[in-house]
Amino acid sequence: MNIAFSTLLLFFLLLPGIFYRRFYYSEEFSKQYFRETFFGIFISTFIPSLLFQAIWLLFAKSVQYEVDLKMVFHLISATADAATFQNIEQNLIPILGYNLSMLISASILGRLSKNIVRMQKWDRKYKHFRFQNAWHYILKGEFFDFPRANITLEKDTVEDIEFVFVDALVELDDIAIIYDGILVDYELNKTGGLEHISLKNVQRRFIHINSLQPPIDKDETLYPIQGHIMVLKYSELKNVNFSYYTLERDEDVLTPRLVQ
Amino acid sequence: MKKIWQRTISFRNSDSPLTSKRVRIILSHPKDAEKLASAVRALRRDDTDNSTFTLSTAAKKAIEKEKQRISA
Repeated sequence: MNIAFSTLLLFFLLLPGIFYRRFYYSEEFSKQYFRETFFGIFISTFIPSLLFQAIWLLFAKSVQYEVDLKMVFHLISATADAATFQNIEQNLIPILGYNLSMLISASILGRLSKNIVRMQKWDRKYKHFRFQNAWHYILKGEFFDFPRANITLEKDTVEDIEFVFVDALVELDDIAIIYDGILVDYELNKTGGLEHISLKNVQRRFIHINSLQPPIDKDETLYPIQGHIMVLKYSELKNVNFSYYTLERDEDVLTPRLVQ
Repeated sequence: MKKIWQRTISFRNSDSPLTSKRVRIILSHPKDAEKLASAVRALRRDDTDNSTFTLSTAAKKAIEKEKQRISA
């Protein structure tokens, strides 16, 4: 019995919290799982673990199944004797079932908690619930629902936004290029920043930075770019402008309109 | 039929999509996607004559099919 085993056991006891956290920060918010401070991760893992362990302990007691805490303490403090291991060997299946059910429940509860927060829009209404994925809220237009947002939608809702039109400025020496198109995808990097954006039906427009004269014919500077999607690396963009549109339908005719 | 044009999130899928189902279908049809982008650009130039568009028969059918799938 050594310290490494005790550490491993402590880690095992923290697993319910780790699983809960992993499934809470999933899908579009999965990057946040790795981005918190050690203290933050410890607290947000330790507390759920403690709760799960306590609930399972009480539940086991209620179904007449005794968890020998002394034995667990002996294992952690590296003072376990042969009888302890013999006991574990004899009760291996119930011990495995006990822990497996706890881990599965922690995962399901983590996912459920996230879905409840998202469905109830608590992450938009309350800063405490907000996920650290600022780009998600910008690109999906969900920031309109933030209490501190200076723009409020009076006629439409965030759900009415049907697509986002993007203008992205790229600078090359004394030439600036504006790409515009419909946003179809984006990717975040490890730090939660924007890695790239993907646009569809892109058009390119050249602007001479040093030229004071406006183009004579603005259409001459427009170049449609053929292709399925155009990927723009965020690190090469100077500015990005987002416009949120909905479509109005009048019989067979559709008209894009900025959300209001 | 709200769901075809609203970016709704469900309990099973809490990640809202970037586009509505209707726009996703439009973008899947190249000619319609081009019409949509052109309409937006026309709207930005205050060119009201060109800021509207009609869908191709294929896109219309696809939207109808999606509507039926949702309501089923």
